[in-house]
Amino acid sequence: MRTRLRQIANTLFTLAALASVVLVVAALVGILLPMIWRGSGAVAFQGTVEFRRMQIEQLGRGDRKALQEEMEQANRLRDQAWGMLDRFAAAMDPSDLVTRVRQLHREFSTQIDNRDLRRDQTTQLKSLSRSLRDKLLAAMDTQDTSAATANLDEVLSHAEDGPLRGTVAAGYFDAARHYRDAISGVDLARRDQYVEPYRQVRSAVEALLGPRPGKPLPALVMQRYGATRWDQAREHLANVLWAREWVADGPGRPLRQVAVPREQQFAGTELAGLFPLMRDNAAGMLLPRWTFYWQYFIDDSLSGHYFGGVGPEVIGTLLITVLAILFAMPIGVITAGYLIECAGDGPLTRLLRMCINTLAGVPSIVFGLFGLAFFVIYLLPKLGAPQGSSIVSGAMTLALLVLPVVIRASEEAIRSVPSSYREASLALGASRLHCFVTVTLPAAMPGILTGLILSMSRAAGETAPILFTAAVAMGPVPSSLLEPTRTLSYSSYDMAVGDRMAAMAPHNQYGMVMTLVGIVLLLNIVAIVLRGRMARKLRGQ
Amino acid sequence: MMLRPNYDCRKPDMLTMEDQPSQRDQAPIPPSAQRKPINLRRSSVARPEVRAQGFSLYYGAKAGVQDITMDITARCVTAIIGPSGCGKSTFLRSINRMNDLIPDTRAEGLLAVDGVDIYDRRANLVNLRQQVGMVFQRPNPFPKSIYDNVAYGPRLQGVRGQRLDELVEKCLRDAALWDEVNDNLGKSALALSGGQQQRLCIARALATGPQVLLMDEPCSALDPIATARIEELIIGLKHQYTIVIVTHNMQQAARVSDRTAFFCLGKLIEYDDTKTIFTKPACKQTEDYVTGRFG
Repeated sequence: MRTRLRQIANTLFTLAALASVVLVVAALVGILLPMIWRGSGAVAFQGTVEFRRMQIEQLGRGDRKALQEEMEQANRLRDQAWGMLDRFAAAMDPSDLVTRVRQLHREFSTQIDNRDLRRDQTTQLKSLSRSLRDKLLAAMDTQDTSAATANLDEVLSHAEDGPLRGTVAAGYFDAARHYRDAISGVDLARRDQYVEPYRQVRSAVEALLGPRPGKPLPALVMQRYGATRWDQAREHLANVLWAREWVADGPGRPLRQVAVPREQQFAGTELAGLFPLMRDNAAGMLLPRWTFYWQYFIDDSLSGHYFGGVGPEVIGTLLITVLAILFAMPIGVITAGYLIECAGDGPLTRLLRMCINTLAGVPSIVFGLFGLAFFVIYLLPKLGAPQGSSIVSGAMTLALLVLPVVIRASEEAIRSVPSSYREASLALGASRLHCFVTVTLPAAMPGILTGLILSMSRAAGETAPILFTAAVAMGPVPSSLLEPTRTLSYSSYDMAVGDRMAAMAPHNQYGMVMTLVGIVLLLNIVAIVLRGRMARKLRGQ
Repeated sequence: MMLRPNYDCRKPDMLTMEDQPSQRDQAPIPPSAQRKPINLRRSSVARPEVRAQGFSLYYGAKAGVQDITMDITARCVTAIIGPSGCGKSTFLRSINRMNDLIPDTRAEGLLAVDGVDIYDRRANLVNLRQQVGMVFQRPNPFPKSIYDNVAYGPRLQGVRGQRLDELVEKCLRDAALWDEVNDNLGKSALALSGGQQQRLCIARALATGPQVLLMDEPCSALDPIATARIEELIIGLKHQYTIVIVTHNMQQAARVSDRTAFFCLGKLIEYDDTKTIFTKPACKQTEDYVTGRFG
């Protein structure tokens, strides 16, 4: 009976152990795999011709000639779309034409004032110009197609008039012809209805294809290019093809958003042809191609984090982490050596150990605030460094954070060195210091190193301690250790809470997190390999 | 009874110790007179290298060894036998003060090496331990190369370069290991077999140039063949070194030693020539032990 119970207990234990292993593995896979999957989108994706244009213009990377050919190919299709939009714009929104007509009249008036004419001639020409202008404006203002056409025809009947030939006023007739073409296929009565949808379509097309060629370039780099990635392009294309409208199901019911095809919105107008064109030729306009953008890890970012990579963040993270470990290692190892070799077991030592253990449990933001108060505001300015956050103060704060872990790992490693090594060394006449440095420390090195690199990966991911002491969201690559830097952890945080960048370029957010996880993983692998090699060397293989 | 010499024993370098008879040839003193030189007779035949007089060592309140009085003769092998826990290792480790590593130990009486009280407060541990080498129960080479293991002691004394190479070779030859390892001195010591490791430890102990070599059951972790080689080595070394060996193996004591001390319950029961101990011991307890009736 007893044996049976024991067997059951044994089986239960085995099952529980197995279950926990499975759980841990599942958690790892469940956390890491999606992160790497989403993050890899920042590096490997279908880049469009806009991406290649951006790379050449902003980073000077790529083949200019090939790009030119591609742009020509894409522009052949794009020009159709732009042409449709422009013609529709002229009919829907004659404000450009109105401005031009008014300007023509002003210029013409100045011209005839300056010409040496008789007074009655001047008056006659001026009144003719005024009447033409008014007719044109009336034609552009009315929503009645036949009235507009009548006005335009009347204006055009003066086209062969002698006095206006060869003067600025000839522009009236061009404008009239242009407008007559534009309104020929449009129901002017519904013009007001089209204004807002047209604006939406126009901005969606600009987001997809980039600003209309020939217009002045926007100031922001991120607005100078269309969709650089095919996944982004498909979202913008959906915005072109579908309108979102709110519909009421009935009184008292919440409004519902539905997608309405634009083709339907613009049915009966010339613009209706734009949507099949865009739908069928989006790939031809953007020429997506699989791109492996490995420079993501070394490129500086452009326009926030909209374009470019995380190079400065990687450098900053590595710098701060390595420096933190360089600060923490000597202090930690010496403390551990003291605690084991010299301190004994008095009440003072016990207090010291308790302090170290407590330090390990202090929240990281407390370390961050301490670093701000002590290193940034007090210590470094006192030593002559410029006030303000810097890599050094961040690294020192991180060193404090990982110090308890380093001390405990080193203590364990030193304690696990067989006492026979120590005895042998002392029996050969070595002093305790010499024994510690030449025998105990080398033998404990694999363990100490593992502790160090594990704390290093913790330090790499910490945000709170460097929040006030070292990190900035934007800024140049630091040229000295007394300047602040960007880091992966802080930039991911900043991207998530700071502005709309996380929504506009989610791939960059994921890519940043993936890089951070990658660095931590890499450090851990290095720790495992180093430890293995050292241990093998110590075992004599 | 505490006896303390009043001279500074930090000064003598063990290499020049032989040339300083003035320190050993002191006038005899009554046991009651403290802080005076002790008389350690110097004779060319049987000079005591290690002298214990009423020596006791306590771990806290518990006595490890009590009231030991014995002279260990130079240039011969002295075996210490006895049942487990009788204090033989404690006594051996007292000779180069390895017991200091254990907290709360306290020594009484006199224990002198080469005429110098080693438990004097001013005693120089570094010099003492270079003068009294030790080989432990389990082979404990450092996780370094063979060369670095042997060179560890000499380097502490500042030996460098060519001289160090020569010294390493000489010690490895003395420890009968040279022929087995001379092709690859850079190999890790831990890659050697147990017997080779123990001989390496002996070579390492010899490299500091000791006068006394303490061996704490050096063969207990080895197989018979390796044991035989170590025993040969011990017999070969006794012309140059004073060897004290602790052993559980009575045959081993009989084979290698010239004199044997029998310890029991922290006390020295009998100390005589090995032949006498094993053939006609004076004490009943000793006889019981060496014949296997007890212990």
